[in-house]
Amino acid sequence: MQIAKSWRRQPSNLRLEGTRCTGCGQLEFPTVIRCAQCGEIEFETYQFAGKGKVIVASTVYEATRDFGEHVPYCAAIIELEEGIHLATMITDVDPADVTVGMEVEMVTRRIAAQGDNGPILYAYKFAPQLQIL
Amino acid sequence: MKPNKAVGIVGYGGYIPRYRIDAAEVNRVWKDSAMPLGRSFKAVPGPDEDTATIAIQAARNAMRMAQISPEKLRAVWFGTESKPYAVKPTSTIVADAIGALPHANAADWEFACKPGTEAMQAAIAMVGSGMAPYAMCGGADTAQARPGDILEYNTGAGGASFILGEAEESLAILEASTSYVTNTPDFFRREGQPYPSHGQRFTGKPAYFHHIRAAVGELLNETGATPESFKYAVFHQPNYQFPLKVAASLGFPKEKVEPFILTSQIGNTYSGAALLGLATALDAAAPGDKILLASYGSGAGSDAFSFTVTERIEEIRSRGVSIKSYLNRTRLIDYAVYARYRGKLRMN
Amino acid sequence: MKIEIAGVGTTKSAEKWELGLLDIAIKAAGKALKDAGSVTPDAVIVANALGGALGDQQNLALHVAGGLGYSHAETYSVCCDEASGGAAVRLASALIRSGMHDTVLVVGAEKTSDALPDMLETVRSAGLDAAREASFGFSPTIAGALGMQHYLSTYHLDKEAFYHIARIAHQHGSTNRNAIFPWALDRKQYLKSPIVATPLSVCDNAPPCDGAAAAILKKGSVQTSNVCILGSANTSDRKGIVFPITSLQLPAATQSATMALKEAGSQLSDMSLMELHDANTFLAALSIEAVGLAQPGKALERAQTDDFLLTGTMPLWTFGGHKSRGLAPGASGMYQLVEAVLELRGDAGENQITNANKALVQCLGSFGAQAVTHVLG
Repeated sequence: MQIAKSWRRQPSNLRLEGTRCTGCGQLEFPTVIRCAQCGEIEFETYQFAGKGKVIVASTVYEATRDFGEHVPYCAAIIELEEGIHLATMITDVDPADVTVGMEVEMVTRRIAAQGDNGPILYAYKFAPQLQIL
Repeated sequence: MKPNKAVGIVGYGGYIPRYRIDAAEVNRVWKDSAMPLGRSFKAVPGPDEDTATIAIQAARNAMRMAQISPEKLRAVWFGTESKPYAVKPTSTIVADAIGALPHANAADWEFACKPGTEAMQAAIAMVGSGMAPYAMCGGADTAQARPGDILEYNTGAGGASFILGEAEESLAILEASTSYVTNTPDFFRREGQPYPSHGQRFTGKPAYFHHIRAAVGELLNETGATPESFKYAVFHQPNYQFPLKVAASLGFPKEKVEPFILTSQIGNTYSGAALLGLATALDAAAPGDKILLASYGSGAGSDAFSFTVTERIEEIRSRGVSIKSYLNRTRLIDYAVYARYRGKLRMN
Repeated sequence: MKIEIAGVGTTKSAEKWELGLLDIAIKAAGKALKDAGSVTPDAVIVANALGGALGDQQNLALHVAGGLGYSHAETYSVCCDEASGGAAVRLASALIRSGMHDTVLVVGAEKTSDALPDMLETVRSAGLDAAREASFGFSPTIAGALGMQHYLSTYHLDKEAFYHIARIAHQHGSTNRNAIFPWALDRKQYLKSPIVATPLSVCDNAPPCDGAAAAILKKGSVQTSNVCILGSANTSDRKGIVFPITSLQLPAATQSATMALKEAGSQLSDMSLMELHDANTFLAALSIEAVGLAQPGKALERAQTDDFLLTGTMPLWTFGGHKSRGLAPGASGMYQLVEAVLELRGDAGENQITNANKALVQCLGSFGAQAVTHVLG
C-alpha cells in the first residue's frame, strides 16, 4: 500500500496546483522542488485553470497493472491554457471520438485503487468541455 | 423550524454521469417480459466514477455558481449510501478538491436517501446561527441494487450540492423546514452487504407516503402556506409514480411536480434524487416563485423545505451549469457494459 | 587511451523458463570469458533495469562475481532503464581509462518472463516519470503509440509506413539463431497484428524476453587486432515522455551520437553499420533521424529503400535489433554492442556485412531521455 505517496500529491492531483518560480516566473505542473530554468528553490503555489487542448491521443487496449479495468481508454498529451504539456487520460468520451485540438477540462476521477483493501487514488483526468445548455 | 437569521441558497450545482442504460435492457436480461408503456433510462457511473467524484463535480459546479472563496466554507457535508470508503470520510475528499480545507467541518451523512436534506437543515442552522458565513451540503450516490431486483430497473447515479449563505446574497431564501422521522425499517442494507433489501409494498403507504405527507403537512401548518402558494414542488423520486401520487394527495397538481421528476431520464439517484430535483426546479424558477422540497429517506423520515426565489437568481444562475446540460449528455450502454462498469463481474 | 573488447558472449533471447536472472547473466559472462581466452577481470559491472523492481536479485553484480568464483573483484550494478547496457560499458571504460583497472567484465542481463505481462509493463513504466506518468497509467508502449500517432499526423503518413522498420529488423533477425522471433515479417502480417494502443500494434513493439550479453573490456594495446571503443558518450535530456512525443526529436540521442563520433574522430559516413534502439518502431524512426541518417520526417522514407539492409549503404539492426532478436531491457545495450563487435570481427555468420570497419551503437533509456552511444572500430 502506498498511502503516503498518493497523500503527498493531493494538491496537484485534486486541485491542479502547480508552482510558479519566484525567480523567473516559470510555471510548472505538477510541483517542482528546484527551478530547472533558473535554479531558484522558492516557489509560489500556482493554481492551474484546468482547461486545455488535445495535442495527440491514443486508444489504449493493453494497460499496465491497476488500469486494466478501464480499457479501452484514451491516453493523451494535452496543452494546458498556461502552456504546459501534460500526459493525461481523457474520459467521458468514446476514445475514437477524441480529436486533435479538442477542448478539454479537468475532472477528478478514480484513477486506480490498490486492490480491495488499499487506498483509492483520486486525481485529474480531462473530459471534453461540457456543452452548457 | 427556521433560523433567527435569514438564510438562503447562494449557489448550487449538480452532476450526472454520461452513461445510460434502458430499463427495457435490464428487463431483457432478467425477465424478457412485456414492459409497461413509456421508456425509462438510468444514469450509470463510468468505470472511473464513484460517489466521491460525483460529489466533487457537483460541489465544483456549486462553487462556480456561488463565486465565493472556498476558505469561507465552514462545512462541507455530503450524504450518501454508497461511500467509496466504509471508514474515512468522502467529504474530506470533496472539501480538499474544492480547496475548502483545513478550517472546515467535513462529514458524511447517512439516512438512506435523505442525508443531503438533513445536512441542508444543519447547514441552514450553522449559517443562521452566525457560526459560518457559508456551508455546503449535498447528496450523491451510485445507487445500489441487487441484480434482477425491481430496484435495478432504475437505480441511477448522480448528485447535487448546495451552498447556504446569508439571505441578502441568496438566489432563494428559506422560509421554513420541518422533519418527520419514525423508526420504520422499509429499506436497509446490512453492514458489509453489497445490495440493499426492501419490504416491497411496505416501502409505499407506511413509509414514503406517510412520512412525506406528515413533513409537508407540518410545513404547511407552520407557514400557513397552501399548495396554491407554490410554483413548483419537488419530492423524493424513487420512481415516476410515487412523487406524482404523493403530490396529488397533498393537493399539488401534476404540472407543478412532473417537470422535476428525473427518474425516466436518470433513474433513482438515492441521496441525489430530491436535491437534483430541486436544482432542476431552480434552473426553471423566476424571482418570487415559491418552491417546496420534500425528501424521503428509508428508516424512515422526510425533511420538507419552503424556499422563495429572489431577484438575484438570473445573475447567479447564469454562472453555473444547468442540470439539463447533463441530462442531454448521454451515451447508451447495454447490460454487459453496465455490469462491467458497475463491478458486477467477479474479477478476483 | 583505447579500450579493446577482448571477448563477447550472449545467451539466446528467449523465454528461458529453466534459468533465473543470475543464471543467464553467468551464462553470458562465461561465454565472453571463454571467447577472451584466459583473463580474470578486476571488476564486474552488471547492467540490469528491472530485476529489483520485479522482486528478483538485487546488487546483481556482486552475485554474478560470486557466481563466477571471483573473490576480489570490484563490482557495480548499473540501472539506467534500457540504456543500462551502454552505461555499464561507459563505466567500465572509465575504470580502465582512469588506470584503476586493466580488465573489466561487463554483463547485461534481464529476466522478464518471471513476471506477468501487465506487471512487466508496470515495472518498465517506472523508468518514465513515476509520479507524473507511470502512476497515471502511462507506459513506454503507450508513449510509443502517442509518438507514432503524432509522427503520422505531422508528416502526413499512413501507419503502413512504419512497416519498413519492422521489416528490416525481421529480415535481419530471420538468420539469427539467437533471435526470439527469427522470421521475416510480411506486410500483411504487420497490418493485421493486434493494436496495443492506437496506432501502435504488437508488431511495432519489440518483444520482451530473457537475455544476457557480456563483453570483456581491456586496456588497449597499440597493435591489438581486437575491436576497440573509439568514442563514447552518455547524455541526458529533459525527462518525461511529453517532449519526444510533441517535438518528434530525441536531443539526447543527437548529442550523444555527435559527441561519440567526435571523440572517435569519425564522421557518420565512416560507419559501416549502426545498432540503434528499436524498442518500438517509433523510437527507431526518431533514432534514425536523431543520429542524422534522415531528415526529420524522412526516416520511414529511407527505410523503404534498401539502404538499411545488410547489403545496403548503412545496415541497421544487423542481427534483427530488439524487434526480432528480442528486448531484454537492461541487457539490450549489451546485445547491440556484442552484435556490432561480431560484425567488425567478421564473426557474424549469415548476418555478416562486407567491409565492416566501424560501427555506431546507441541505446536509449526512459523513452529517449537518456542516450548512450559507442563508436567501435
